[in-house]
Amino acid sequence: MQVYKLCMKIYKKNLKIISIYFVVFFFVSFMMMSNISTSQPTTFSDSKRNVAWVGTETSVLIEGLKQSLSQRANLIAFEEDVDLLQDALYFSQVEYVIRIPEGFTNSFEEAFSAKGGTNQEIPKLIVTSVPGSTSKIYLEMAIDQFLGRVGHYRQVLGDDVSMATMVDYAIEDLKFEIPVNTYTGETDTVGGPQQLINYVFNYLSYTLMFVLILGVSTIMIVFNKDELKRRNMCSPIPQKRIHLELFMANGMFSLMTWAALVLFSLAFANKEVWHVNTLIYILNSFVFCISVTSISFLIGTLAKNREAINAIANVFTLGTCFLSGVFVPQMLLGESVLKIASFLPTYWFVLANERIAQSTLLSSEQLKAIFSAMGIELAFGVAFFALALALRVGQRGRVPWFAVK
Amino acid sequence: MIVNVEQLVKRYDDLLALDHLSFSVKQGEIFGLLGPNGSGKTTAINCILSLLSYDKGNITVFGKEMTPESYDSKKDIGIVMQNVAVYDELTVYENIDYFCGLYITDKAKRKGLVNEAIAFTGLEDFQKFYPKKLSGGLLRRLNIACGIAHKPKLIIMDEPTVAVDPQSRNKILEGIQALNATGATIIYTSHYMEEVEQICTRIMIMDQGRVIATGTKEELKNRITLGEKITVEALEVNEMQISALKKLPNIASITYNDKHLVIKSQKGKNNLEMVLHGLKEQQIGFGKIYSEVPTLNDVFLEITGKELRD
Amino acid sequence: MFIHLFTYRLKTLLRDRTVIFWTLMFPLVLASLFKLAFGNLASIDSFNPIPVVVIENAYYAEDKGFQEALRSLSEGEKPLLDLRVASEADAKLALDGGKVDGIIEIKGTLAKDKTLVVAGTGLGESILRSFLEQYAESQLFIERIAKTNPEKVPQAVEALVNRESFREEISLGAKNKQNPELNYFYSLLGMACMYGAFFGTNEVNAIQANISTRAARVNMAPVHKLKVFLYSGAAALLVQILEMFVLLLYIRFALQVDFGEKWQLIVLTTILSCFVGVAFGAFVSACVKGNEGVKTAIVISISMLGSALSGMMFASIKYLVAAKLPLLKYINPVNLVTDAYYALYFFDDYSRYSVNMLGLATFAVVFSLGTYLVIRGRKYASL
Repeated sequence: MQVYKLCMKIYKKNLKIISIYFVVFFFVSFMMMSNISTSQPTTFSDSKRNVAWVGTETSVLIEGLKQSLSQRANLIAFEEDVDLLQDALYFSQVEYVIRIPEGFTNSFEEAFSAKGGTNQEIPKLIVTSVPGSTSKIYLEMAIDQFLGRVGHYRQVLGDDVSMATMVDYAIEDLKFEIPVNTYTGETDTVGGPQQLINYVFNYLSYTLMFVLILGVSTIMIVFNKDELKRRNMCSPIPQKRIHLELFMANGMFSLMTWAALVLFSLAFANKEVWHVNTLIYILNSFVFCISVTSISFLIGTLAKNREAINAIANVFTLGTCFLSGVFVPQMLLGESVLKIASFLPTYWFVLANERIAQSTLLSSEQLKAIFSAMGIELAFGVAFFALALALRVGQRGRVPWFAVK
Repeated sequence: MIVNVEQLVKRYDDLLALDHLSFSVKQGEIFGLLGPNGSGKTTAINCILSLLSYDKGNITVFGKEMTPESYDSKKDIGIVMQNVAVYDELTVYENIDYFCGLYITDKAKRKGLVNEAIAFTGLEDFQKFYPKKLSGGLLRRLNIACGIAHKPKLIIMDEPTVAVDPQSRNKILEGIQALNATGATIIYTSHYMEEVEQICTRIMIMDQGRVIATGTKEELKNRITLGEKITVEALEVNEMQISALKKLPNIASITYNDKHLVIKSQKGKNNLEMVLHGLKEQQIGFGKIYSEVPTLNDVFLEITGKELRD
Repeated sequence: MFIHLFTYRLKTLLRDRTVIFWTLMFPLVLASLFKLAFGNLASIDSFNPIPVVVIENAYYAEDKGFQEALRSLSEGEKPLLDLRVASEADAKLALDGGKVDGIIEIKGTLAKDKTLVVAGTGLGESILRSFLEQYAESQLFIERIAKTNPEKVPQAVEALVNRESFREEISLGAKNKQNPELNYFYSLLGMACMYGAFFGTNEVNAIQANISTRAARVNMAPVHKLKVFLYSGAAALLVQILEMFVLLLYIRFALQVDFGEKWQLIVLTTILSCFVGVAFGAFVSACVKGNEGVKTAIVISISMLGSALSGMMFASIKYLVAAKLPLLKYINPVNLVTDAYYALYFFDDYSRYSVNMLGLATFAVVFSLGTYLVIRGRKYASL
């Protein structure tokens, strides 16, 4: 167990470096997760965003619009001043700007007059938003729905009914919410709704991969020094044993990293932990961890240069996470992208997580779908490990052409 | 006086690395700094070069106080570090040219100097090689070439021959003497006493940050009482015979161990002859007999009570 | 002396091919992957229809309007829904098996009688809910007209066909269009700039005698240490700038990411950002006591943290930071770079751009000054 013990010593020596990565990545995770939890539609209504309102026009219609929007936003009156508005957007005083063009109410009434107003051009509010703002969609929906609804009433009812009444109708209509039930099947399952935990575990793959690739390479760079490699080759310990002990040591490191990350993730989603699915999430992340350990071992096998390792770890981690739907949901990725991604274990990890999320009850069919994804993750792990071992045994101190010198 | 060090004290936390060290190096000398590993040689050198801060003491180089900004002095100093300090990405020629260029800005002049340094270190055939392709000895020579190409007046070499094969070592030692012959003053540290004995005109022996002794090798050897060490291979020697031998003049000590009779005599004439005579008288049969003059190791041993070599 | 140090440094940097290769490849590959991943983001081409099942019953059979609405969404080139109709038992089985995202059941003729049953929480479920709500709201409209003016129901149905948009999105005073994917590329550029820190780290290591013997040798030369640092640092900066230009050109022309028209300022921004990156590395290397690994870890961590906070993984984080921790966006150099590109693209007015450039310049000064104060230290306590 000499090799194994040495690895543990090196890890201990590098504890400072590893903990720097841990702290920072935990911080990033924290930011990302709080981002996720605040951008959920369910929690959206809790925090109203500031919206700049530019325009002096007052009318029943505009007051109605204000009233309708105020359910979702704090409207703040602004002067028409481009610099001022830009600053307000930049300094995040407001997230959205709505400007009422002159004569809006009149054009609106003309456009939606009872006598075939469809030929008329529809008046537009001039809006500006902060890109990436999550509340934007809801605000825009609210604007279109309200004005559209009033317009339709006017188109149908014409001048028979006062604008104030129509505005009231619209506001009332738009307050409606349809009943949504969560199906829990015939059998009772343990636990309440889970939502955050899915994201938390998806994101775990990013941190896990980065820390493992860098951590494992740190060890492997030491062992990959030509002189040391040749020296080890001369020792009476069989080569395979050295490789295995190396892998075991890295496995130990992976296990500890994984445990720390899982604990952190569970702590973060602490409100959703008491659920059967949580166990499956944990199992899935463990299977993924095995797979990533193999990948790290493979990368570490080819590693010789610290700068290159940093670059590879970055490309690999960020790249696979983007392609596999860790950051951008798989649903939004193109089919061709997903096809490429299906050659990556991360894709299957995320897919398994999605499937777990969709399973409020664990029917055998759902379980089958989940475990088949995990099985593929595991197969990747075995394949990468075999490849790494083959390379290591085949290398015999020589460096393959694609190695990172 | 090229280098003058007075009462130099350097501490690393609770370790006293240099303990009121004083010495001076004169123009034209090959000044040897000899001492076991960890005796403070490199620390002393780094203090002189103003790389290290020190707690107490005065250091002058070329008669001026040495500071990190003493560029006038630095211009005339060449250093060869213990560790090879070259760029892996530059060839042999480029490495020498790079370091030389820090001293000599004139391109044409530099070209001549670099070629001279290459010839001097015997690297002509390796000019286009990258350091990774060089053997240990060649790498050391490159390391030296980088330090001396600008023809410094003072060359400081810190163990330049560590891990070098005997052939390269001899070449390096010859080179140092040749440099000295062209007028350079050289400070040379080593823990190999043979090297120091071979080339140094004056030697300072250090131990635990202190000066043990300074002088030419003859002076150093004269310092000690040991004059000659005579070893006799004898199959059988008894106590009586030994005490009889001890009565011979000038004999300092006699030990008999593993069929080897070691007789240490003080300085004096005809010691060997007298011992031979004594052996005959005591009827001690012997195979081989050889006599050694004291080495610097003996000097070190007599002063500190321990071996110079570990 | 400048030419000597500069050219030799350039030589050593360019000959270290693995480092050049990887530092260049890394952002290029990432940028390509971004393009691959986001290529579809703006359009809906790739959208997979959401599988949904409607329970077959008498109410559904009679509700032609709803059937029509569902059909219009599940047909055509880019259907939103993958619709099937089934018995209640089959529907539940399908939901159990994860074959559909939700079950729609109609329990009456009124708007409020439509219910949605889901088994999970995801985008599909949200979209279904939003669709049903909108439909129900339209139905409420018809119901109200039917109550007050029953003769006008046909007109009401006709009116509903139109879904008007009442918004015109403009950037304040600028002509360039909003594009959510831009921020990803801009922050990637920001991160790549900060990775120039590795060059800076090496430059400081090359003159700090307590780090390498080579540096000790350089220290012994009759050239001021800072001169050596500045001149060889200039070579490192040049390499970094060249690498960034390659990346910039690649993103602009090969990946067709828009940067707006102000290319002179884009170049200026890139150069300043490279300087900040290199100076950042020098600063870290000068200030942090510890081995290479610790320095690398700090450089990577700060760059990654900065990139994350400027929205490289989730664009909305950038907004979150601006809203919740506004100070953080000024002290995050990656965000300053990202935002400078963004301001150039998006605003005609230069005030926002200036704020970012000012921030970067401040960083440049702080890092340079900090580095200077540490490395001018003349002697070392130990080597």
